[in-house]
This record gives sequence, structure tokens and C-alpha cells, in this order.
Amino acid sequence: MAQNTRKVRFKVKRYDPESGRVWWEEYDVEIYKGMTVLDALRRIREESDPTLVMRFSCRMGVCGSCGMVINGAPRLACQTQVEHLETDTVVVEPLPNFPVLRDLVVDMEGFFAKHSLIKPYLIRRDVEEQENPTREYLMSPEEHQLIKRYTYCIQCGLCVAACPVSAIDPEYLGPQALAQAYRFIADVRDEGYAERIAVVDTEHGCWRCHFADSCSVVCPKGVDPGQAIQLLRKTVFKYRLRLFRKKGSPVAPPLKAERRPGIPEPPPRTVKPEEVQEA
Amino acid sequence: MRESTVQLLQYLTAALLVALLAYHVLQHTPVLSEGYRVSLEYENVVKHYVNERIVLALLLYTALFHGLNGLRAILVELLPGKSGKVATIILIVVGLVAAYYGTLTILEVA
Repeated sequence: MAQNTRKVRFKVKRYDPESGRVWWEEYDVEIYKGMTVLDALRRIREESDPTLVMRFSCRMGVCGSCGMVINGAPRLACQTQVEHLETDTVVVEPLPNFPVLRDLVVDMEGFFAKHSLIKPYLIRRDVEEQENPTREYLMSPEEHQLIKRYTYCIQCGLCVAACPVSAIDPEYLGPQALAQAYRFIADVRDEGYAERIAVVDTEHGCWRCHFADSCSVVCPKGVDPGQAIQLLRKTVFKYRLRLFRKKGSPVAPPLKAERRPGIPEPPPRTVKPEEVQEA
Repeated sequence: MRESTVQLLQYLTAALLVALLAYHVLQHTPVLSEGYRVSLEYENVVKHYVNERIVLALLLYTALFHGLNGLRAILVELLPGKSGKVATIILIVVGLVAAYYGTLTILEVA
């Protein structure tokens, strides 16, 4: 692990909310092959400066917690290898277009509030069946392909940080929420398109996008929110001109599960079902 | 008015402006007149107003809507909260006054 090591200077933008002070702090870190920026920041925190604050969790590009600006571009720290940056100085800043709470941690409350606005869940007219399902909503592989890339969103906020419209218009819904609105409108199992279109067809909705496409460039999961917003606009136009035909998904009873031969029986329960209910 | 309707009108006026402006410019060239200088002589300008008043009025209304709506889109992004709505109202008033004054000019000259 210690082979091919070299020293890299990390220039980190710090912020102290108590005093309101903003300053740059520099740290030298000995890096190794495969070391990510998150690894380096954790090393700084463990070995040099325990006051450095950042947010992270999974360390494998799934949770979307460690978004930050690294050498001028919004990236996930856990997915960015220091060697791939090919610089001797790595500049790390908190995500722009978000209020900074402390050091590299930003406030995501507004971001998630906008995400909630577009109702990011399946809406069915038959509420009773949805609440107490007896059948399954079917979706063909081709229908899944239509929305597949948009379902990869991990809500890291990099797209919003890169968006020039979000930078000047704080009320703008933003690429993440708009892409997710399209993801659910295009989902054949969903029937809540009218509610979502009412949210996105507004002054600060999908029409404010300038199609800079920087959101798609920085997305670590290849979601392409820029494309989703253009498709969303097309869908809204079609809906308003009464040309939109939503393809519904058939419902069917769940397939009967049959035990395949050769699979051993599970071990006996350690807790009885009635005990679980009592707890 | 819904934002999608405004946007649709923005696209339609953009397409219309291409045709109207092309026609308007061509009227001052040898293609549709006797040349730039001659087309701007007083009698020819008055004749132009008389013969083309509907085209001129259409050009006025489409250009006003397209331009002012473009400005509104910028202001809505830049001005937070109610300021954006105030800007929209001001631009509607400016548009109506300009349309009234322009129509009056066309009718008076024609």
C-alpha cells in the first residue's frame, strides 16, 4: 500500500459559523495509489486536524453524502482518486448553490424540500389497492429502459451545484427535482402525472432551464438530468395540447413462488412470530 | 397564464419573427423595392405604412411579446420572491403602452 507514495498539498476552504470566518487551510498528505480525496480528508482529520468537518458515509459512491468541489468541479470525494487529478495541489471547497453549515458540509434541506415537491413516489388512482396491495404493477424491460438511467439518482446535489440557473435563482426547482419528476411521469406504473406537471409547469419550474447541461456533465451516476428536463418540457407541452397519452401498466397477481430443487431449507426461527408481534 | 403557454407563445413568436423580419428587411433591398435609399424616402415610407400596416402591426406585437418576455424570464430568475412578479406587471404595462403607441403611429401615418 505504501509503494509509489508522494506528497500532495490539500488546500481546503474552511468556514466557522460561530465567528463567520472563512479561510483556506493547507495540509500535506502522503498519497498512495488508489487513494481517494475522501481518504485523504479522513487522514487529515485523523492525523493533522480533527476540527475539519465533512459529510460522508458509504465511501463507494452510493449514498451521495461526500459531494464537494474538487479542483473547481463538483465531484464525489469518494469517487475521485487523487492521482487522477494529476496536480500537486488539490483544492477542496463546499458545494456552491447551497448554504454552508461548516467547512465542507452544506445544508441540503432546501434541496430535499424541492425533491419532495415533485412527489417522488408512485401515485395510483386506486389508493386502497396501493395501500394494501394484492397485485403487482407490471413493467416490461423496454418500459424500464425508458426511465432506468433516471432511477440511478443518489441525490448528491452535484447537479444543483453545477447548475448556472440554481446559482442565480434560489427558487428554481433544480435539475435533480426536475429529472425525478420526469422519471415518475414516464414510469408506466405511475398515474400522478397531472399533479407533477402542475408543480413543474410554473415560473421557477422546467422552463427556466437554459440547457447548459453542466448538470449532466458532473453527475457521478450518468443520470443526465439535462436530457430529462428537455423530455419533461416535451411531455408538458404534449399534456397541455392534449396530445399526451399515458401508457398504463397492467396489474396482475404476484407470481407463485416455487422452491427450486437443491436449495436447502432455512434454519429454524430463533424468535417465534408471536414474540415479534408482542415486541 | 400558464408558464407552458407563455413558453409556447415565445417559440411561436420566434418563428414568426424570423419570417416577418426577413420580409421587413427584404423590403429595403432591391429584391422587393428599388433599393435601400429609395425605400427610405418619405413618400415610400408613407406608402409602406399604407400598404403594409397589418404586417407592421404584427411585427410590432410579436417583437414586443418576444423581447419583453425574454426580459421577464431573466428578471424572474434574478429577482427573488415578489420582486419577480412586480417586474412581470411592469413589463406587461410597458408592453401595452408600447403596443398602443405603435398601433397609433401605424394608423396615423396610414
